[in-house]
Amino acid sequence: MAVTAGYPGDIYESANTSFSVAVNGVTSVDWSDEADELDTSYLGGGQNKTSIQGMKSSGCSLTCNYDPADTGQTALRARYADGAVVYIRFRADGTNGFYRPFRVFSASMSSSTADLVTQTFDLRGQGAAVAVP
Amino acid sequence: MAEPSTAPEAAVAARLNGQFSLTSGTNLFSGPERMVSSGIPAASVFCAPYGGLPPVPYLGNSADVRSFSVQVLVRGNPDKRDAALTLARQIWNRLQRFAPSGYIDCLCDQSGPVDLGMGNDDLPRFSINVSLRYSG
Repeated sequence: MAVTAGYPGDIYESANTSFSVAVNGVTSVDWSDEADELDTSYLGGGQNKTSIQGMKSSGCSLTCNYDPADTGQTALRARYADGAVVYIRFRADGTNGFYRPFRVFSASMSSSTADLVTQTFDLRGQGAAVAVP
Repeated sequence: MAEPSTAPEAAVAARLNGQFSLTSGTNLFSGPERMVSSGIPAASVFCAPYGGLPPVPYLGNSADVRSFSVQVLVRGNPDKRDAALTLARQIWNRLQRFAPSGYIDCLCDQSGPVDLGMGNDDLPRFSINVSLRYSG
């Protein structure tokens, strides 16, 4: 069975779907999709609960080693500042993956003296994911 | 993956060259310990690469954060253990928090020199083990 290592993947961002800017220094990505669960169980409906999907929500968390010279990291921090939509493409193996529009809702930095400085971006999806390629 | 422009053991040796009466090629060497011989005095310092921690790969772009280990072996003259220990402590201070060109930093793995005792040749030996972090 084929398995996929994480490091060949990549993250690109842009204001549209050109994905012209690489986000470098990324050490972990958490790409998530989740739908609300609406309970449709009812009295007399048997002993098994039933449900349907409600609204879908999505997110992406990126952790990077902080590089103030990296265009991609700088752009994400700027999108936090201006609140504009940013398109993110995540290809898990460098070829196959997804993209969608996001807004940046959190840009945090972490520093401890013996470790490298990191920054983490939390993004919330603004539309459906599109599979690539 | 790009290799650092200066090998880690060479970067450490360059940091020590000209300090504490150490001269590269005379009593300061880049590489493993060599036996006392013509051109290799008993009181010598050797800087040898020892691998390091596993590299941490970045997503995409073929770059990694690497941590190169270098052992600085301080060998003293017979009956001159105190002098060798003093030199080892000076070297520790010279290398801790050092920022070699092309590297993130250089930090010592221990808080002081490691006493390796004396071998069959009765020469005192101490080691200072350092890690050079690199991104590339």
